[in-house]
Amino acid sequence: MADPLQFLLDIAHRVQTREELEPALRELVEGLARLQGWDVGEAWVLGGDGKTIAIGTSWLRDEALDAFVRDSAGRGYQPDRGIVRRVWEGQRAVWYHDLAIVDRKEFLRWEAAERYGLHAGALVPIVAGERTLAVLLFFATETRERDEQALRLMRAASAQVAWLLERRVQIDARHRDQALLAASEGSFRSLFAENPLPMWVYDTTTFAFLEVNEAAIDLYGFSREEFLDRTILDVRPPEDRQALIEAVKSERPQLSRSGSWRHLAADGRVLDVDVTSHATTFEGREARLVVARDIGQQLRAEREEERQRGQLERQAEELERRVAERTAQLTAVNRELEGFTYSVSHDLRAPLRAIDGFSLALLEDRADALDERGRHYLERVRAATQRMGLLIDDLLALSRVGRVAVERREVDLAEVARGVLLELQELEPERVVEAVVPPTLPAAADRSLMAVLLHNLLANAWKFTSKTDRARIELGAERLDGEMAYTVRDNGAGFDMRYAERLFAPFQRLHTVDEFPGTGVGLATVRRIVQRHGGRLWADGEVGRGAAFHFTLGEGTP
Amino acid sequence: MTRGDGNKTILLVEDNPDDVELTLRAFEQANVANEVRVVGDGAAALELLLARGEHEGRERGDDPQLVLLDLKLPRVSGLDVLRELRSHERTQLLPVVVLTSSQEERDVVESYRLGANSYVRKPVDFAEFVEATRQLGLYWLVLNVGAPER
Repeated sequence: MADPLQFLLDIAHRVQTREELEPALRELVEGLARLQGWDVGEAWVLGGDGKTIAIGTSWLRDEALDAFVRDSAGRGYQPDRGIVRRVWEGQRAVWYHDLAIVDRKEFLRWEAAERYGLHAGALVPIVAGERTLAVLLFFATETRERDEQALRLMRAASAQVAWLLERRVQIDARHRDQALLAASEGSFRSLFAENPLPMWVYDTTTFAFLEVNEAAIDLYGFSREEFLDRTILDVRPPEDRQALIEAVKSERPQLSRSGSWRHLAADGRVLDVDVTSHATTFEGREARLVVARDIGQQLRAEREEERQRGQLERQAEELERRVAERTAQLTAVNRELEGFTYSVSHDLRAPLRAIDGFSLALLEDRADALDERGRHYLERVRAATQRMGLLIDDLLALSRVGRVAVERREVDLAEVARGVLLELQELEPERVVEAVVPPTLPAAADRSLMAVLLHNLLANAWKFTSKTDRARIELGAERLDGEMAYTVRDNGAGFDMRYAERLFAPFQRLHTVDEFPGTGVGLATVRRIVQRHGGRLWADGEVGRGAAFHFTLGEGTP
Repeated sequence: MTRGDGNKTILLVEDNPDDVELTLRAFEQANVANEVRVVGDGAAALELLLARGEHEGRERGDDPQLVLLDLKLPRVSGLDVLRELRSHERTQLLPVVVLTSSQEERDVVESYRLGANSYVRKPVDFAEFVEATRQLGLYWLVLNVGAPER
């Protein structure tokens, strides 16, 4: 047997120069097996899954034994039993002078061992700290008594390898961490570089850009190099720079929103951005990581909305202004009309009075200077003058009907009609007229306008029945298409339905003044009153058989 | 006969000469023999009644007993004349009859509101006007007991 010390030095040297774990274990297993005369040497290590143990490397004195390893390797390990498992967990070396005496439930490879005539066996754990890194197995074809010296060498060599393995594992772990770190750094980097939001890192002392991402390059139009040549002050309008310097000074280290800023793009465009930032160290410099969100579109949308709202408001104002203007115009026109009717009542009547007065003065004071014909002419002048006076009065009444405000309230038309008929009767006490008026006839209308309306219709009926025997005037009402229709009916002269439309136009008459006096304004006034109430007016009649005037009074009528 | 007291004068405030002549004729025909003074505009009427300008110093005994006032007058309107008269102690109680062509409701209402004693619309028919004048003269110059002079 070669010098064990030399062996250890030798093995230490070889193990240390091995970069890889597998060759180092192989050196150890082969070295020990050769030195101590074992026929089979194996190193069991933790499998790739981190749980099961499997043969990592093996050495055979005789190629024939390769079959043993191959045949039984799969059977050498069970998670809850087996001698390998026991040594792995117990971390103590075990020596068997003859494997045949070992419980077959524990020595899982007994069948193959028997077949290939293996008897002696030794198992040594390689333990680093608390952790078992590997178990070395040695078999011999003859039985062998426990050899303490051999075990000591095995342990010493194992410690050498344990140190190596430990370091190996550490290195692996470091590699893994570094790989992980690299991988995670890569993914974090890509979070920055490929972030759809413009981001950059700037030096909080010099304000220089230290790093920018693609989105920033895209939004601002500077290349990466141009960015890194600039400071964050360069991407602000000059008037905002002082405010920025103040803001950077007062920035809190934690994540903070610094609100909306105006930034300058490479082409001079002003960008509206919402800025969020966080303190960081970048390549050993005090820095801030900035995320800038382009809110230009949002602002533009808001401004557009604002503009549209403003436009709507302006339109509404314009509309209101125009309504006010039209109202003012209408008021002016009304005032003018009022002034006109006022003038009519004053100025047109004055000359009429003069014509009539001086005609009468002629008749009275100079009657002797006039013959019969002359006096007749003067009478005709007076009659015409007075008729014109009536026309003016009726016109004024018609215009007044158009001007007064309609005050709708409950009116008993029957009561109003009785009053009118009484007046008519008093004016012509000799007339015998049968008046048929219901006890009450409620309507929602302007009382004074209803008085004018009924006066006109009843006076008409009164007039046109003046040549009728058994004259009869009737006031009634019936529901027609859901609304009340009121009727003033008479059995007088009537009219030709062909001319019905002309009835309601001012100055239109269907009879001569000699037959029935009148100005032709009365029914026009009636129509105006009905219109003012939002109602309808129509008439039917037949020459010689009377006429009927129907009217409705619009909404609110019971 | 409705002849009034000869000392009682009537002031007719009227700018239309036709109306002046016809009104005077109507008084004549209605046998109202009182002296009728005529002024053609509101300002002149106020000067006379309030004893201003050329009428300054006029004795109160010379004051007219009745004013017939047209509403549509040059310079100062009839309604303004009425308002002014009612604001002076001297003419506060002077009978004023508004005599006009207008029967506009606002004129009637405003006249009474400002203290007119009567409102007469001049009819086109002169015969009617004579009758109205006769009644006016009878009432205001004969029947009416005026406010005691102070």
